[in-house]
Amino acid sequence: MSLGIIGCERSGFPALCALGKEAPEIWDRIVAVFPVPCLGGVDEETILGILLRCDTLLLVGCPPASCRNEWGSVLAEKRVARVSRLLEEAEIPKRVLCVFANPNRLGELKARVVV
Amino acid sequence: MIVGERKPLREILESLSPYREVLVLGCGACVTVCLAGGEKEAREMVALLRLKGFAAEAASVERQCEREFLMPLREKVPAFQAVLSLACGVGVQTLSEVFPGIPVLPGLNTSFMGAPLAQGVWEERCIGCGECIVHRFGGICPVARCAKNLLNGPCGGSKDGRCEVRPDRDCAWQLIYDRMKALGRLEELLVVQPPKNWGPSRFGAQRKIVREDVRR
Amino acid sequence: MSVLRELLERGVFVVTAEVGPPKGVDRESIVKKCAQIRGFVDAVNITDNQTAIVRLSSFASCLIVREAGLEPVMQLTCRDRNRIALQSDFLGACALGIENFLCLTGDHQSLGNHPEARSVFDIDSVQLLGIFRKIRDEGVFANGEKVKGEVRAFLGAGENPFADPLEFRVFRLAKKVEAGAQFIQTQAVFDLELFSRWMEEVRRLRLHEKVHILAGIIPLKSLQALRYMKDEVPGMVIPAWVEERMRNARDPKEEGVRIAVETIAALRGIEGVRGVHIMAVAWESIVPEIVRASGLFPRPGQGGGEGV
Repeated sequence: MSLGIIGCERSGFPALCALGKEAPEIWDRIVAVFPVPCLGGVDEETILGILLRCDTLLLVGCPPASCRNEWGSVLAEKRVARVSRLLEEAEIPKRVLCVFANPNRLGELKARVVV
Repeated sequence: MIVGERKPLREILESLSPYREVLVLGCGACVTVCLAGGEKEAREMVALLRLKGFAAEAASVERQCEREFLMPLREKVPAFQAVLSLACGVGVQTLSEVFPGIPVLPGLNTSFMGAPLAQGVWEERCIGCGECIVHRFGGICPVARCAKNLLNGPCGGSKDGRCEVRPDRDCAWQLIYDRMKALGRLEELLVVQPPKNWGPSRFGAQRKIVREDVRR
Repeated sequence: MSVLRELLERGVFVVTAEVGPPKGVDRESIVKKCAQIRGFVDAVNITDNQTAIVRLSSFASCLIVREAGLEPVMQLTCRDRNRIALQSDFLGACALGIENFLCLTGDHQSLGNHPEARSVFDIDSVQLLGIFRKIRDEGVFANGEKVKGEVRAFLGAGENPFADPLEFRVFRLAKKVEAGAQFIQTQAVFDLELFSRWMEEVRRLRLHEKVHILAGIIPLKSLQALRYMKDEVPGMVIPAWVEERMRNARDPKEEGVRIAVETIAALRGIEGVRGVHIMAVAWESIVPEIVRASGLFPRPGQGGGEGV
């Protein structure tokens, strides 16, 4: 599994770094990392473009209730859902997911990244 | 506006299968508004095609149905093996006319002339019959909105304001009745409407309008 | 002159029935159904690709019915034919001695077995009545050109007193009468209260003096049949008490007949109702029993009284 990560600078990217300290083997699997100001700014075209480089893409960011831009995470979820449907329809064997995490909430991220 | 939606991806991919270098062309008019074929959709389509191994590029023009907007592409288009047009049927055909030497494939299924009811919801309103008579029915067109285009409706299948054809469709005649009642003009619905002249409609022939007063 | 028309003008309470043609060329099935109802009805309707299911044409079936010794009522819908074909079929039918016509809109093709077909709906039932009337009374086609020869036709239409908008139904009837309807056959009556209210409105507009109204009757074969009609057939109103009776019935068929006979008895008491139209779909054999039990046998001209 080759992993791509888009992480928001507030929670997602710091969470990734925290996980990386705990389990450095994840870096073998991660082929691309993109820090972004907020997940809300990531559009479908960007997601699809990054998928050229990996087979699984995680959008890691603030849990919806705590997104400082209010709608960032919610938008990300919608767009990820749309892209997932397009991938399925086009029979492209790749995945994209939203993972909500911060440095204190590594559980789900760990589950997705650490095999 | 003209409303359409993207063809199923499987169909698009199949029609593009003989090619590798594909230009995806969006249109800035109606299909942008109905979120089916604008620049954004063209770029998304390119991203998807690239994931399927195509060498694809996106471009968009103001309106694909006008030659003058297509002419600037005359150097670019021949560089590709095929063009996937995300315009409505009119745009697809104009593109084919302007670039007869290159396969032009439609990426949308163009459906109807309609209006948005809410974000993401569009409904048919006009079928271009060529002889507008909506004023007789309180501004609601039975030709476009009644499944049987009755002028002396409703039929016996109207129930709870729904059309017998699909339960999620309004019965146009219930709408007309309610509107005329609200307008205090119910007695106008008692007038027997004569058979429609379908000559000016699509059933007459391909339509053409020439305005001598504005021709150069 | 049309037997149906003659009887109605004489004030006889008429009985008509309906026969659905086969989904093929088996003319015998029509002949058999006619044999089952001969002597118990005054005229019989032949449906026109009803529910948009392809069947032997109404026109051809009417000729078979006539040969079998019954008076046909040819149903025509606007779904499959334009004004050219409809006028042409009208002339053809009149030339071959068919005298009764029922002008209908027609069920949408999406409900039938060829849902991918295009519909025509060049004109609607009201306009169709007008065109036929014009041919008959003025001797001209819809475009004003002269029709060669005289046409004799008794024109009818359908009406559904139970469809929405409810308040508008009587006005739709008025339009049909104005356009040329001489008789009306209604959708099946189960809800007598609703039907009586509609007839009240009809009488208020004095339409009952201008058009002969035949109330529709469908004998229920089973609870299943009732459910199907309630859920699948547009414009059917079946009150709860009917469902309850059918559910609790020891013999559903018997109960269905009983309900039909009771309904007919009640209908005869409503001013303006000039007859009944029994639509015993796929159960034509039950018609004689219903007609007898309703005291409507024998029919006039069938050896015996006026069958009043």
